[in-house]
This record gives sequence, C-alpha cells and structure tokens, in this order.
Amino acid sequence: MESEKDQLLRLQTYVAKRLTDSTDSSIPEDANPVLPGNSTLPVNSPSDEDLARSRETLIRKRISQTRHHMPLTAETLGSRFGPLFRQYAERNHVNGKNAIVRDSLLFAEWLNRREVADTAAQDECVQMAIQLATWETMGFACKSRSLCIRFVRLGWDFGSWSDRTKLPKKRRTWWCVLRVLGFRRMVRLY
Amino acid sequence: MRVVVVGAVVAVVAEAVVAARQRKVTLGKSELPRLGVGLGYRDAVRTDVFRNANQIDFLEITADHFFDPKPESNELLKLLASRFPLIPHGLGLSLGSADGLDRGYLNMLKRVVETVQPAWWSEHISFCRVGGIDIGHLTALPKTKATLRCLKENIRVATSEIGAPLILENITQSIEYENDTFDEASFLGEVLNENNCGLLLDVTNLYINSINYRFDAVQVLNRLPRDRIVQLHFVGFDREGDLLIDGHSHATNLEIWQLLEEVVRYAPVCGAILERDEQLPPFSDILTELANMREIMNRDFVET
Repeated sequence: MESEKDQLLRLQTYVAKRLTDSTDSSIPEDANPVLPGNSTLPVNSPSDEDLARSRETLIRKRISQTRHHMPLTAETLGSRFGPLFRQYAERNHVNGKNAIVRDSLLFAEWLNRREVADTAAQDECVQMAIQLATWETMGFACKSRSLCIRFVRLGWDFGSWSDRTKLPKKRRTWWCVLRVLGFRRMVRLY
Repeated sequence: MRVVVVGAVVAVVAEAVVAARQRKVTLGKSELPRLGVGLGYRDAVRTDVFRNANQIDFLEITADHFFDPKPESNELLKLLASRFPLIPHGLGLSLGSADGLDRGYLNMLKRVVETVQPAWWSEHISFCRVGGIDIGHLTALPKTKATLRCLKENIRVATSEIGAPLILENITQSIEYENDTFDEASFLGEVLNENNCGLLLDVTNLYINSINYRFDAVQVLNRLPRDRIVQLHFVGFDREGDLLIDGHSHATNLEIWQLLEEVVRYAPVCGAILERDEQLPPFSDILTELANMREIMNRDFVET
C-alpha cells in the first residue's frame, strides 16, 4: 500500500518529468526512487492539456532568459530565435545551478551541430547567427567560471558540454595552481 | 526556601527564553514594520535605484542572486542594505517538495537572510525540484491534506534554521490537479494558519488565476485571513488568446490597479513591491507606478 507521502512524491516526480521531458510522457521505471517499477499514472495527476500549457510556459521563460545571454544571436535571428530555441528545448533540459548559463552554451552547441547547420545552410542570416552564438557564448563563459571548468573537463577540444569525460589530471592541477597563485586573469583566459 | 526561589527564577527565565524564541518566528502582523512601497531589485536598474532612492521605500532582493560567495556580491548586498530596508525573496527552496528541502540551498538562503537582517523573508507555495529534477519553474501543488502535511514539515525545517518571520506567496497556477480537496482560498488559509505564516499576496497572480480558471478574485480575497496579508506583489500581465500570462513585462494593468484597491481596502498591508523584470520602461514610469501604489495604500489607510 502506497503511503500518502509516497503518492505525493510520485505525483510530483511525474509532473516534473512531464514538464522537463518532451518526447516521453510515460513514467520511466526509475522515475521514482521510492517506488521502483511502478508505471501506473499517479492519483490526482493533472490533464495533458494543463501539462502541455505549463511546459510551454517553461520553454517561453527559457527563451526569454537565453535572449538576455545571447543578445547578438537573438537580434540576428530575430523572429527565428524562438522557434529554433523551441526545437532545441524540446529535447534538452538543463538541471541545477547556473542552468541559464548552461542552457545558452548548450543552445550554441546545438546550433553548431551539423544537421541543424545543414538545414539552415541556405539562410545567410541563420548561418551568421550560428557563428555569433559560438562567439557570444564563449565570451560569456570567459566571464564566469564555466569556461575554466569546461577547459578542465574538455581541454581545447570543445566538444559537447554533456560529453563529460573523466577530468584530465594534469590540466586540473594547472588550473588549481593558477587559481591558488591568484592568476585569475590567466585562468579566465583558458 | 532557597531551592524554591532558584527554581522559580529558572522557570521564569526558561519561559522568557521560550517566549522570545516563539516571538522570533511567530508572525504578528501588527509588530511588523510598515515598509511602504518598493521595487524588486534587478541589476539593470541599479543606478536608477540609487539615483531615486528617496522615492523607493524598500527593495526586495532575489536571495538566489546573492548566493555566490564572491566579494563583489557581498559588497553589493551590504551597499543596498546600507541605503534601503531589504526583504529577501527566495525562488528555489521548493517548500512543497515531497522529498524534503535541499539543505545546501537552505544554508545559502540562511546566509543571505542573516546578512540582511530583514523584517521578514518570503518564499513561494510551490515546488520546483523533486526526485533530482530541477524544473526551473515554480509549479503548482495539489491542494490536498498530504500537501499540507508536506508543507508543514518543510516550513518547520526552514523556520527552525532561519529566524526571521516567513511569509508565503501564491503563484500563477498553470496546472490543475484532478482531485484537489481544497479550493484556492481555503488552501491558502490552511497553509497560513497551520504554519503561522504571513501571506505575500501576488495580486497579479490572483487575478491571472481568476481569469484562467474562472473564479471571482474578490470573492477569494474576501475569504483569505485578513490579518495574515503582510505584503503585496504587483505588475502587469501578458495576454495570449484567452489566457493571461505572468510575464513581469508590462505596466500594471487597470484591472490590477482595481484589485489592488480592493486588497488594500480589505487588509492594510506592510509593504507592496512592483515586480518588473522584462522590457524595462524608462525609470520615471516605474516611479509613477510606485507613487500610484503609495497613494492607494495611504488613501485606504486613512479610511480604515
């Protein structure tokens, strides 16, 4: 028998997953650590229509926040910024601290991916925006610790942010030494 | 005889300590200062805020923006605190999460509140993080007894860590659960009374919910516990088809001004904050809105 708290937890987890996952609306088996294997709809779940509307609000909020972080890209893309971001957001959700920063970085990477670039290849405006996005998010990252962490994790090969490899020990050591010595500008240059 | 006297003194002191502790976390609206009309602080308006400090009674800071322990962040916080009364407003504590509070977040929030020493602090009646998923958005809670119990436990943990009085904000509801036990007014009333908290009534959210979910905002207002309404939020709404959206990007609409008048007439409040985040107008427009709100608050205070 499911306790009251477990029911609430399962309902909240279901809602959270529906709002952040786009394609899969069913509950994965590991969605709730309390009740593994329970795949029935939770009691008192909201309607699909409400969830879709709420998800739309969430994406719109992300579009608005990302616009602030990538003003040049947003301006260049104009009215196409929203639909393109929406395509990206349908498959990507960023969790946790500095989510907006990572959303912008991921979006720039997504724009840069070959398949997206190919579909937009005939549009000069989109092409320019793709280049701008990369430049803009790198510039943005330079101001924060993100780029340092990114360098430590990935080195000069700017692969996908989500391709988290094991930390290269040598590079991490250098990064720590520079920080300890107070060479903040050098760390930032990385 | 001596033992009896010592025992009595100890009892009196213990009682005084317990009473002091209770006072620290108990909300007595009449004991809270009347802060006036202020603005939700955003970096984009920093210069204007200082330039027009005499027209802004207090600032509400988003606590999450000051979690970074960088010296610049602390300096800014101290600078703001030296000029304005500050009220910290949390976004991500997720008081409604069934899997409890994030202790790391709570500690950072506590640090900000302790730095600012505010008259009160505020959070939302919602959840935004559960089961390791960060939704990134304030999400409505089911209005059931289970939710009330969950909120009670989380609020108990939060208020035992943070001494200043807590007030809770109603959010824009974008999802409605199938078998809710309570309606909007009774749920808010239960949450506030059970946890002895004040209400940060977001008048725009109340109006938006009343249109999107077809209920009478004034009727709901009249069922809220009058003596618990401590602070207000107001801003304009966006319209998308039949739906209203809380975009924090428009000047306060006529409907909101009318509802604000109703609210202040119903329950005089300690403070009101204009929450403008997007499409910022010239700062003179913001000041005009603050002056309008001040006029409403003063007018109704005189009448009552």
